[in-house]
Amino acid sequence: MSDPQTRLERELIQSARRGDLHAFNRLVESYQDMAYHTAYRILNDPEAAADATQEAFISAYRHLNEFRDGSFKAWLLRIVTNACYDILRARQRHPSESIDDLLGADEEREPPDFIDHREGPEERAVRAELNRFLQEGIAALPDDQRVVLVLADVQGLSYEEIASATRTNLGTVKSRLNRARLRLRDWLLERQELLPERYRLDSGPL
Amino acid sequence: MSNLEHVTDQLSLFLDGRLNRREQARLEEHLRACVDCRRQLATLRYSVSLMKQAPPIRAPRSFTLSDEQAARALPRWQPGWLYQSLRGLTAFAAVMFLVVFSADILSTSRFGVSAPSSAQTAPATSAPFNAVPAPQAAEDNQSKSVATTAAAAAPVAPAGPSTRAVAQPTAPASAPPALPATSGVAKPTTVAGTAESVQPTTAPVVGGPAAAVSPQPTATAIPIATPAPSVEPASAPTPEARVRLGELPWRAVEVGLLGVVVLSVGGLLALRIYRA
Repeated sequence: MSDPQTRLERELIQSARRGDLHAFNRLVESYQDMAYHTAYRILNDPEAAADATQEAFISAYRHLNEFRDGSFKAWLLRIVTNACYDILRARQRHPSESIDDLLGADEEREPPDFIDHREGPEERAVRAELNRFLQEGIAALPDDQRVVLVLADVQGLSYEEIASATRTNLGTVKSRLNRARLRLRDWLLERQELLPERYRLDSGPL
Repeated sequence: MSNLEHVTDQLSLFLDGRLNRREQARLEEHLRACVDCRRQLATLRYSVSLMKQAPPIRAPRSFTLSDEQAARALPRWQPGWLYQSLRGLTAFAAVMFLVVFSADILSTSRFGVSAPSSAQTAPATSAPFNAVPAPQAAEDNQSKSVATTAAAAAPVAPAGPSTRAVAQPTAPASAPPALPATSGVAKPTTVAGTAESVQPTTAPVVGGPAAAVSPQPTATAIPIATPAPSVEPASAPTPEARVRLGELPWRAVEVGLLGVVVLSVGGLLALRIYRA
């Protein structure tokens, strides 16, 4: 994030803390795609992701005073992660509700709205394919591994930020991420032929 | 093979540049020699890079907060750790108070029955047969004398007079039990006085009416009590005295617990008001 943006962001946060809802909503606007994307990857369900995102922004507004210097994005993602965990826990308590989502529903589901500037219809179809493929692979991971993988490889948080977001320690983050990546790799390699050609691993010499 | 496992554990960290220099050098050296691990690394790198190409998704709607949402977000107060722990403390202190208090009452009434043994070591050995327990029970209860104990003492008190009737004629030795009943109803402090009052035969007479009056008031009883020991000079402080003194901390604990309850309830109220 470039410097002027950070300065603007800091000003918005200051104003929002003083109760300026308009300033806070400008922050929401600049982060809602990122927040929703994260929740979507973790929860694999558009409605649940929207719920988690809304819940996260409400909670962020409520706890804005607790934000200290550092990355606002990482702080926000921590709240989003919490909101996602709430939903994941609720699913565990009532598993029947989510099984429908996991089975079949994926097929009929419209592809999400991608943020992409080179939008041609063909391009869009390929991206949708890649997206579904990756999403399925991520969804196959255990919850804890999936959360860490999304925060690290989709959102690019540091290990330290992930540890804080998931309330674990560095060692746990490292081992979860490692296991998640290995597992996802195996999953992807087994189904490579389903990938659009350009995304396949060319089996050249190593 | 265990080496391979160790290497795969490190590949992820290696990709992120999170190995320290020595680990990194060792891994690189191993990778130069091991095709298997090179393949592992290549496939892992590929998978991670693919993941990083996951198309960013646009939020399906705006998540900006409305005025109502914002208003609802702010005042909604979730009890913080301070509130929670205060609540826990209140409950704990209240329960402890009840436990201590009832243990106190139970033990004293039983103590009263078993007291004769200690009384026997005292001068009044031969003295009032059934009389002894009764007054002493009254005494003990009273020496605790937290308001309600007065009630507990009440049923015992009636026994007092009958004792006295017996006691007076019998002997000085019989006097103590009777007196204690009277003074006992009232005083915690005069404990030692029970022993002192052994001699006076007249004392019981004083005691009689006092006992009749005193069942209800605890606090007011104390003054009535004090004269009793002073009627006669102390002859010998008995074991009883020591036993009773040992009971004093009970009351301190009770008062302390009650204080904790009151304070923490006050704290809870203050927190509520402050947050609201």
